[in-house]
Amino acid sequence: MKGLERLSGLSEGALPALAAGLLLFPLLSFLDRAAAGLLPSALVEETCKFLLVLAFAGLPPSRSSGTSRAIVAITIFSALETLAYQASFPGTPVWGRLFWSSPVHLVAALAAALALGRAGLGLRRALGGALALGFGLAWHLLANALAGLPGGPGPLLLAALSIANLALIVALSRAYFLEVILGEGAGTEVTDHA
Amino acid sequence: MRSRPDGALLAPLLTFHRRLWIRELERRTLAWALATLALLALWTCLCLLFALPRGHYYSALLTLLTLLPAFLFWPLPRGFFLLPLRAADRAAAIETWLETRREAQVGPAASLIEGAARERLAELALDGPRRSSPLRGLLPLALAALLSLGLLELASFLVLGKPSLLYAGPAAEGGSGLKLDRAEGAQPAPAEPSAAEAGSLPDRKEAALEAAGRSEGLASRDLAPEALRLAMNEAGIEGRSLARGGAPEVGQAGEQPRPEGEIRSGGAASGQPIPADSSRTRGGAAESGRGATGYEGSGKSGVPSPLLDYRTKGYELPTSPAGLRSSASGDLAKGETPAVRGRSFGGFVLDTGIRPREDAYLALLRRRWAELNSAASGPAAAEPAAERASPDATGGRR
Repeated sequence: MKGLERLSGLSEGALPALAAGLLLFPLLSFLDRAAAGLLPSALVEETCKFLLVLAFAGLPPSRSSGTSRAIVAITIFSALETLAYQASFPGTPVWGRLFWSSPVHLVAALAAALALGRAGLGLRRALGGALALGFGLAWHLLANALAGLPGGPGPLLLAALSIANLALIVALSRAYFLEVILGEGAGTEVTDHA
Repeated sequence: MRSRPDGALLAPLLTFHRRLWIRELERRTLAWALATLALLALWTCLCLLFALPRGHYYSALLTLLTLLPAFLFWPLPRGFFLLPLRAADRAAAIETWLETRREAQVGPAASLIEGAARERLAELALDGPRRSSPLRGLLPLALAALLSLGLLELASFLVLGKPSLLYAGPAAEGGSGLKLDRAEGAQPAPAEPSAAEAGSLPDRKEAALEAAGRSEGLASRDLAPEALRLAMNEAGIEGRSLARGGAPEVGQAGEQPRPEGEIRSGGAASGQPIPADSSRTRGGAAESGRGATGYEGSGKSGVPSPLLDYRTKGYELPTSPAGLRSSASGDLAKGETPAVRGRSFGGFVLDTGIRPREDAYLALLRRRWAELNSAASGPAAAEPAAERASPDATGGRR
């Protein structure tokens, strides 16, 4: 049981992450409806997700722990969204969401966590945050535009975006490990020479 | 202290931490796989027992698969990097050196501390983190997964009569759901069938099956034939169309003959080309020409499994009273029919002319006696006399 406890880290703020993930979905649903026709849905979503990462980054015990929990919350939100889509298309599994939509959410979350989780000056972090928000939004809009093509994106485009998603996730995860997790846990000097 | 050569010095430490992290990721992936297996097996078990729609199964499957990043990015526990480092560096030479660097403390002992750290880091590059089993700490989860799988197999045997890992309950309409944006808030709009799909008979048939299954709380394959027929009638599907899978005949009024290979015989009623790998096409082909029975009709027919059906065919031949020759066929000559019928429906008696338990001497005596009697009383009395003399003259037939 000790291993399970160590694995899950349930004692370290599991509840806020789970609650945030579960609440984010109805909140975004409400905001999407309220802003329908005024703002693009992707903008509303990405802004809310960015604010969530920002809020979690300030939570104890550490910035890396907070941003990691924010990624978990966004993953839960993504799973709920998949569930909602599956409820709308109950006959066939919406496999595309595993390779297209959920990774897009993860890429945006990782970019925000990387920008807001790294140690540094306020201005540098703010700039990084703005860049991350812009990148997440652009990626989201691109994915939506491709999915909305007449007749769907097609197998080639689906494969291309899936590979791009995977490559981005690997690169951002590596940077997140070096810059945020190790940068905080073992001193910034370690990452300077990575 | 913060000179460039430190980079090469710290590289082993970075590699050490990276290896730790990768191992942790492997362990977490394993934990996710076990948790997914356990939960999915339990959910499949419930779906089987309560004949839930297939969408419920897919929902659980996709949700569990989507949750992998939550396992991977869950915050690392405190001391995740420090404790293995201490285990590998008992004298805490590396840790002390890192602290002096962090605090920028330059004193007379700094060179000594750095020297000790250099030695230990060189050893660390060779040794790496201590190996441990990937299943360490995950044994309860592995047992839970095994238990769930056992329950699933038990439920499969009870419900389906065979082992199964997947659930193939009643289906409904499909869609892609790729888009991230939601036009109506977080709830995506249900897929509207196109005009071609709306008129597609196989779809309507499937919808009728689904509706009937839902109303009775059963999977469509479990429906009684009467219930199926009623559901089809309600959906406006005629018997003729059912038998042909809804495909209009070539040469009918208003229909053009289809090029061979372009449209499969059981395709949509709209006559639109359907790709060969389409599941709908497969279903349509199954329904055409076979009256929705047999292998392709499984799921929509009364035959639970084609294998069971074919196995019974194998038993029929050896147990048939007449063997292969009695099967109804045009090859049988007219004159042979009574003989075959006799063999098929008569008793199991060998008509060889050799009577059972007959003594040759006694038979000769009886024959002679009958001949004598017939000679004495004329030819008319010969036959009854022979009958009286030999009760087994008919060969034992009753």
